[in-house]
Amino acid sequence: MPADLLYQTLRHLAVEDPREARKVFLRYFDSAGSTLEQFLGQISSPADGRLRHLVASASRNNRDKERLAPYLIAWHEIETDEFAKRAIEAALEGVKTESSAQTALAQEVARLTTAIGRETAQRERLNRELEIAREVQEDLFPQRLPVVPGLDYSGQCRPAREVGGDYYDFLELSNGRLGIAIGDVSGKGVGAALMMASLEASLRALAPVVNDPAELIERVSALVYQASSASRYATLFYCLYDPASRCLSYVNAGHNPPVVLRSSGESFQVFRLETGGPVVGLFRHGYDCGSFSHEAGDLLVLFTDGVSESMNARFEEWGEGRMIELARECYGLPAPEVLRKILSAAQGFAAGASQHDDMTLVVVRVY
Amino acid sequence: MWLIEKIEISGGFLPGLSVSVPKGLTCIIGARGSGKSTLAEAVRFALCGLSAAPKHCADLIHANLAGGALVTITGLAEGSSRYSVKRGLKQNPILLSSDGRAINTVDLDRGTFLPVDAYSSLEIEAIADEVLGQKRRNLLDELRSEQMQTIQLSLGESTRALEANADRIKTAQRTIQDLTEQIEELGDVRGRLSAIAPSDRESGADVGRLSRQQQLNQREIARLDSADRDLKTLGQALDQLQRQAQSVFAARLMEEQSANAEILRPFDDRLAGALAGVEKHISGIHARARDAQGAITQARERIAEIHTTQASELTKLTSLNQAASEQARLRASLEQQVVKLEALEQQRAELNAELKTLLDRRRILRTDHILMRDQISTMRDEVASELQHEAGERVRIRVMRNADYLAYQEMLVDGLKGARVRNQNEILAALMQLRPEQLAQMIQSNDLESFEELTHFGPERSRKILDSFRETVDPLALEVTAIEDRISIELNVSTSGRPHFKDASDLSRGQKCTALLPILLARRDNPLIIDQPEDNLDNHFIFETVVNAVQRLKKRRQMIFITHNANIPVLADADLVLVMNSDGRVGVVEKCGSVDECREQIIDLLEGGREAFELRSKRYAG
Repeated sequence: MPADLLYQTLRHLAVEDPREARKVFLRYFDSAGSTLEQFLGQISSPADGRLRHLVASASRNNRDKERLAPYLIAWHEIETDEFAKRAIEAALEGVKTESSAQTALAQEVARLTTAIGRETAQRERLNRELEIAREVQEDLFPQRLPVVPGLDYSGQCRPAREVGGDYYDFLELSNGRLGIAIGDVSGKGVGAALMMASLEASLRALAPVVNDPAELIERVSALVYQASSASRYATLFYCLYDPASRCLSYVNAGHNPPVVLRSSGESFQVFRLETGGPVVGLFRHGYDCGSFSHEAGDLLVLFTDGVSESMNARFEEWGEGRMIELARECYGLPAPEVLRKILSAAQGFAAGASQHDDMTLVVVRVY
Repeated sequence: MWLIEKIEISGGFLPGLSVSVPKGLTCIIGARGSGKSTLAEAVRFALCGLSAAPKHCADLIHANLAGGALVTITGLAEGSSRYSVKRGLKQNPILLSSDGRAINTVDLDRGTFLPVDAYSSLEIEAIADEVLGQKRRNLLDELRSEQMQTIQLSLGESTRALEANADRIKTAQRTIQDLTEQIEELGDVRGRLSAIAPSDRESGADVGRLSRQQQLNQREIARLDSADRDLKTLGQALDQLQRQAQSVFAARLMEEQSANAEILRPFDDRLAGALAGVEKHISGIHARARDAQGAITQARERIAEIHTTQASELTKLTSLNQAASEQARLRASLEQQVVKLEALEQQRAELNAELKTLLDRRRILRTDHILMRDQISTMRDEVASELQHEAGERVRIRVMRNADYLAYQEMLVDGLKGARVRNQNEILAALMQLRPEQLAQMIQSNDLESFEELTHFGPERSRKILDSFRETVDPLALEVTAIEDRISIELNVSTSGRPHFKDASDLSRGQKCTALLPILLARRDNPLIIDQPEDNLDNHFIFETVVNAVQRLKKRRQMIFITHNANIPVLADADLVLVMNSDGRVGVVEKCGSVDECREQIIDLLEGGREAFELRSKRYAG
C-alpha cells in the first residue's frame, strides 16, 4: 500500500475504529512495506499525534520497538500530544538506544524525514486555505466592463500574499448609468473573503431597485450586519454615475476618500469625496449622499489603503500625496494606463518588502 | 487597525488630563502612585466598560474616577472615520461620530467596535501562572474567534446529537435486555409443549354415541315399565270379569215358592253349566297375561345387564375425556405463549437492527465530533505557529494536545476503584496511554485481548480492571470525553549554549512578563495597553524578546506601555514618553515628549536608564 493511501486510511480509521486501525497498521508493518519509512516521516505534523500514538503503541515486542526506535526518538523530541508522548515513552523504555554508527544514521534519517513531513504538512494547509480564499475573491471581481458613453475606466486588485478583503465592482444600471463600488473588508483570509461575497451580493441585488445611494448603502449595511460576525466590517465607497448629466452621486462609508483631479489651466484642483457615514456591517446607521458634477477631463481615482499605505522595507509609507502626484503626471492618459502606472509605482516603492495588504485601484476618466 | 488619538479625563485622580497619543509606541513612566495605572485603566474603562475588567482594575477605576469624572477617548478608525467615546462611572457610554452624531446601536462593551487589548500586570501574571485552564487557550482562540464560534456551534450540535443517540442506544439496549430475559422462557415453553401427547379424537365420538344410547336406554326402561303396568291392569280387569261372570251365571231364575219353579229349573242348570266354560276362558287369558309379564321381567333383566355395561363404559369414557380436555387447554395456553414469545423475539430482532443503525450512526457522529475537536487544536497550532513566528526564539509557544487531562485521569481512578488491584499508579500510567475512545471501544466490546495487548497487565489483572470499568464507566460518555489542550508558554532562560526552556508559571515575575509580552504584542492590530510589573527584568531578555518585538510590531499596532525598564522606551524608540507625577491627591502629566526630551526623567525614574542611553548611542554610532 502506498504511504499516502495508508495515511489517508489510518487518519480517519484511528478515530473511527482504533482497534481496526491498529490491525491495519500491523498488517502493513508485518508485510515489511518498503514505504514504511515514508509513512513514518509523513506523520510528523502536530495534527498527526493520533497516528504517532497508534504507531508507538502498536509495537508488540522488542524487535518491533527497535525497528521503530529511530522515529520514536525523533518524535519524542517534538511530541505535543499527551497520549502519543506517553505511548512513545513507554515504547522507548528498555529499548537499546546506544548509538552505533548505523543507529545514528537511522536516527538522523528519521529526524530529517520528520522535519520535512512537518514542514510539508504546514505548507499544504496554508496553501489550501489561501487557494480557497483567493478563488472566492477572484470570482467576485467584475468579469467585464459595461460600456458607458463618455467614460473610460478600469479597475484592478493585486492581492497580498495573505488573501485580504479588498473589493471592487462595476454595476450596469438602468438608463445607461454605472454603479462603481470599492471597499475593504476588515481582516484577512477566508472569513474576509466571505464577508466580501456577502457585501457584493447585497449590493448587486439592491442596486437595481434602490435608486438613492444613501438608502442603498444603509440597506446593504443592514444586510451585511445581519450576515456577518460581530467584529467584521467593511469600508465601502459607492457611487452612481449618470452619463446624461455627468453627475456622480455617492456615499462614502468609512473608506479612504476617492480623489478627483481637475485640470484648470496650469494648476490642478483636487477634490475628495468624503460625504457618507461610518463603515458598513458594524451597526445600523444612516448615510448621507454626496454629489459631484464632473467635467470633461476629470480623473477620478478610487483606491484602498493597500495602495496609499504601501510600505517599503523601512516601514515608510508611500502615501496618498505621492499617489496624487503620480496621477497628475498621468493626466490625459487612458484609464488602464494610469492604473498600471500607479500600481507599479506603489509596488516599486515597496520593492523588497513583502506586500502587506491587497492593493485595489479603480481609475475613471471622464471625456 | 485603528488608533487612539487622544485621551482626556475630567475629574477624579487625573483631573484635566489631556494627552494626544501618537501611532507607534507610547511609554508612560513615573513614580509609584503617580497615576500611571489609572491612566491605562481609564482608557480600557472608556472603551470596554467594567464588565470585562478584573476586579483589581475595576477597584482602581471606582477609586480614581469617582465623583463624576469623565474619560473621553478620540479614535481614528480604519478609513479615516473619527469617533469619540465618553464614559463616566454609572453612566452609559456615549459614542459620537466625527460630525457629532450619537451612535446608539453599538454595544461598546462587547469589545468588537474600537476593540482594545489591555493587560494589567496581575492579568499577565495570571496568564503565566495558569498552566492549565482557559486563559492561555483564550489567547489563541480569540484570534480565530469566528472559526472558533463556528466550530463550537457545530460541536454543540454534535454533542446534542451524540447525547440523543446515546439515550436511544441505552433505551434500545435496556429493552433488548428485558426482552431477552422474557424470551429465555421460550425454550422451556416449547419443551413443555412437545411433551404433551396429541389428544384422542375417537373417544369424543364414543362418548357422544354412548351418551345418546344412555338416553335410549332410559326410554327402553320406561317402555318396559309401562307394559308391565298395562298387564297388571289387564289382570285386575280379568279378576273383575270373573267375579261378574260368577255372579251372572250363578243367578236363580226360579222362585222356589213359585209354582212355576220347575219350569225354570232347567234353565237355571243351563246357566250354571255355562259358568265353567266362561271361567276356563278367563283363566286362559290370565295365563297368557302372566306369560307376558314373565317375558317382560326377562326382558328387563337382559336389558338391565346391558345398560349397566353401557353406563360403566360411559363413565369411564367421560372421565377419560375430561383429562384430555384439560391437557388440551394447557396445550392451547402454551401455544399462545409461544406465539407471544416469538413476537417478542421478532421485536428484539427489530430492535437489534435499530441498535445497529444507532451504533453505526454514532460511529459517524463520534468520528466527526472528535475530528472537530482535533480541528480546534489544529487551529490553535496554526495560531501558535503564527505567534511563534512573531515572538522570536527566546519564547516558545506550543499547543500540547490532550495535556489538560486531570479530569479524565480522575475518571480512570474512579473506574479503577472496583477492580481492587494494587499499584494503582503504575496501572494509571499505562491506562493514560489509551485514548478515551480507544478505552471505550474495549469496554463496549469487552475486548480483553486488545486491552491486555495494549496495557500488558496480564490476563488476570486485565480481566479485573476491564470488568471494573464495564461495571462503572459509561462507554458512550467516555468515548466523547473532551480533554483540552494545554498551551505551553516557555522562556529560554539559558543565556548561552543549549537552550533551557522553562514554563511561564515557573518564572520570576519579570520573566513571566518577558515571556508573555512578545505573544501579547503579536496577537492583533488594535491598540494594546500593557501595565508591566515592577520587577527586576533581566536586560538581556528584555532586549532579546520585548524590545525587538516592540520595535518590529509598533508599525502594525499602537502600543501604550507602562514600563519600569528604560530599555523599552529608549531602545524600542518610543514615539512619546509621558512622565506622570503626583502630590498624593491628584496625578498630572509632568512632562510629555520624545525619548530625548524626557532623557532626564527616564534616567531618574527607570531601571538601567543610563545604560540604555549608552547602548543606544553606541548603536546609532555603529
